[in-house]
Amino acid sequence: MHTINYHKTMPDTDLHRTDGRSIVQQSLLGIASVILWSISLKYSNTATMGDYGLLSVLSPLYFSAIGLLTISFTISLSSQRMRTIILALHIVALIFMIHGTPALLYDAPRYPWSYKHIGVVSFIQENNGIRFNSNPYFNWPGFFALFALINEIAGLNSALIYAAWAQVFFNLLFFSALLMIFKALTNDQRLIWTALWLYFLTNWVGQDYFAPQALNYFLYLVIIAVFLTWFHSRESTVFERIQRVLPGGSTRIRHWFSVADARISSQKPLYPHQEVGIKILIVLVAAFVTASHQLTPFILIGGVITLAIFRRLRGHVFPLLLGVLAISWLFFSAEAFVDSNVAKLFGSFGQVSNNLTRSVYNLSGWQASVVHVALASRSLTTVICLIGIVGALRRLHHGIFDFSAMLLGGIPFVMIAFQSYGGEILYRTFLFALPFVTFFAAAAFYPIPRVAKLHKPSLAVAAVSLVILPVFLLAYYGNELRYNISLGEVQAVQQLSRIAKPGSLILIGSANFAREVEGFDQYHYFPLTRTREFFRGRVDEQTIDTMANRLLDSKYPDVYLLITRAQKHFVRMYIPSLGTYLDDLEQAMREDERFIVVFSNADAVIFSIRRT
Amino acid sequence: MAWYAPLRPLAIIAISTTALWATISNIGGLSQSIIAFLFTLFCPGIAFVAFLGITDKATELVMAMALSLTICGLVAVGMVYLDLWSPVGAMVLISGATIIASSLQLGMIYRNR
Repeated sequence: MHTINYHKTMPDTDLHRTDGRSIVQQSLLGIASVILWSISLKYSNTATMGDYGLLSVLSPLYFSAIGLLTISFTISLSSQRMRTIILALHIVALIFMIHGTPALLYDAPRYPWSYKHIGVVSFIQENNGIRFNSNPYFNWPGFFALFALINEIAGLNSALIYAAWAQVFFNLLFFSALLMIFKALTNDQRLIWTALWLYFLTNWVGQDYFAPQALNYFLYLVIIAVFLTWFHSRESTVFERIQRVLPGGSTRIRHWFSVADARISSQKPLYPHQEVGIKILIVLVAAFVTASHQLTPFILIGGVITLAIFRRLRGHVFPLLLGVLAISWLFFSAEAFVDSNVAKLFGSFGQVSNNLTRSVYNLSGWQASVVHVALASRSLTTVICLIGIVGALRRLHHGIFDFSAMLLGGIPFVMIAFQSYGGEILYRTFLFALPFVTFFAAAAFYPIPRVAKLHKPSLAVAAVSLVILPVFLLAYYGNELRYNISLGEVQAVQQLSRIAKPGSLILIGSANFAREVEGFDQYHYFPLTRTREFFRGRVDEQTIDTMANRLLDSKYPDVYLLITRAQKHFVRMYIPSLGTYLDDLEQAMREDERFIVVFSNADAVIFSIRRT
Repeated sequence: MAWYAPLRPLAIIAISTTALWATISNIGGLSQSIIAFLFTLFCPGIAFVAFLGITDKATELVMAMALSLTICGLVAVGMVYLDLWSPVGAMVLISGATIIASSLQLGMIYRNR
């Protein structure tokens, strides 16, 4: 293993002076980029947002800032006196620039689906607990119960106040856990920090908002990091068996097997009390993951079983323990959900093609900008995976076989065979594979530790980052017209929960709104985009009569119609041929005396009907 | 043993006591929120992970954060399932355990001097 020996190139007396100067030099560009970013926010007005979301309103200064940060990061990376603290600050700055920007520009949390989670937390606070029914949120309540408790301790009655910052918070947590994983996989600092940089530059999936997945992803990363750091094993019995059945027994493959995971840095051996303590910690964290999320425990079990099968894990009790925890929860605590969702849970088992197709949407008929965003995310995924393959091959070429990282990067893809996860399985798979994909992608630039000619790989990292960056920003910010919910829209839903009796029917323009931010599990919702009159494509007298009949439905205590700005954008983006339907409907209903406008602001309107 | 070694358990005891007091008296405002987030993200985890003797500080911090959120989460889930929702009770339990663990840590530091 090569290590950088500063003393070979620098006399001792100069070391401290040059270190100080080096830190200042390496920080200057980074500081300039943060200042530029702060200024850029003043010149970015979300009120004029166009089809390409935030990209259409961000000031050119923003793009300059993030570009400058990229250059600054790679300059620091290429320095002989590379300082990890400087690189860490660059990553923190990148997280703020990417995830802090919407939090600073919007007046309410991003993503319509985050509001339901805020609503569940409020529900627990208001009702001092959950309802024991088949609602999945009540069957895996860990995340919601935790934040309800935090709110109570903090003296807050809703998570709405801080949920906008959840993405920054969770990404900082991911950063800490990923650092631990990469430090376990290698001690090459340039490889570690490039992998971290690439991770945050390619994670377009958006599973870092106020949601159980974000918290459980962090806990998953910590458990994997602990396994790699203290419970990793390099038993070669499996390889010996494989070699026996290999035809001819290639020398190179034999060599790879003999060096598999040789670079995994082992910490000091654990004392018995430390080992017991860390095992208890793993069991506690895994138990909480089991109580908090449907998918994460099974991806964790998959990873742990695979490591155990290939003798990469010391302590075979872990797979058994995690399996017992997850299965017990599924059939005892989440029994109500399992009973009423058997088909959903197990119906897609083994249907790989179907599960894949449900995640890869047919882009035809969508607005051009949405198609471009989808293509950007697909291209980004493909490119980072290809760079990852190049990195893995380069490592193998240099005789380094990161077998455990390959297993952990590959195992999430097996989940596609088990579940469609509501059409999201491919996104989740990418999310769980990404740490290892970016590790190998970084290895494409730094396959082995370098001590000289540092500028070459750094230039390559800069070039690739600057190419990836606009694609990432398009994939991540391109659909903001749909993801940005205004405070006015939130207020409309809050008002609705004050006036609508429990059990009421809420007709909605589309499902893209701050659903259940208050009044969780109280109402029935029905989107107009599922009605026959919507697909007739025009608003006429017949449409208005049908709407009047819907609002008079006596099966429910009350019936309301909610139309919001984000709902209209959703229809425009995904069904452009009916792009003005909700505007026309709102206009016609405002003009018709049968309907009452119960609440209205610039971004939302609630209708009910006069009952005679 | 470094002179500053007792500072960490002392800080954990101070934050935990303040968080417990803030919850019971519901002082409100930003200060209560900051104390609550500091407590739930760091305190129980740091108090217990300290006994593991992990030398790498960054690793210790990551594990402490994961454990803190886990402990608070498991207590909250327990209250929900046992139909015993009581944030004050939870705080007494978690901060009490945290203060005891940090006091033990403090005792060990002084004994080793």
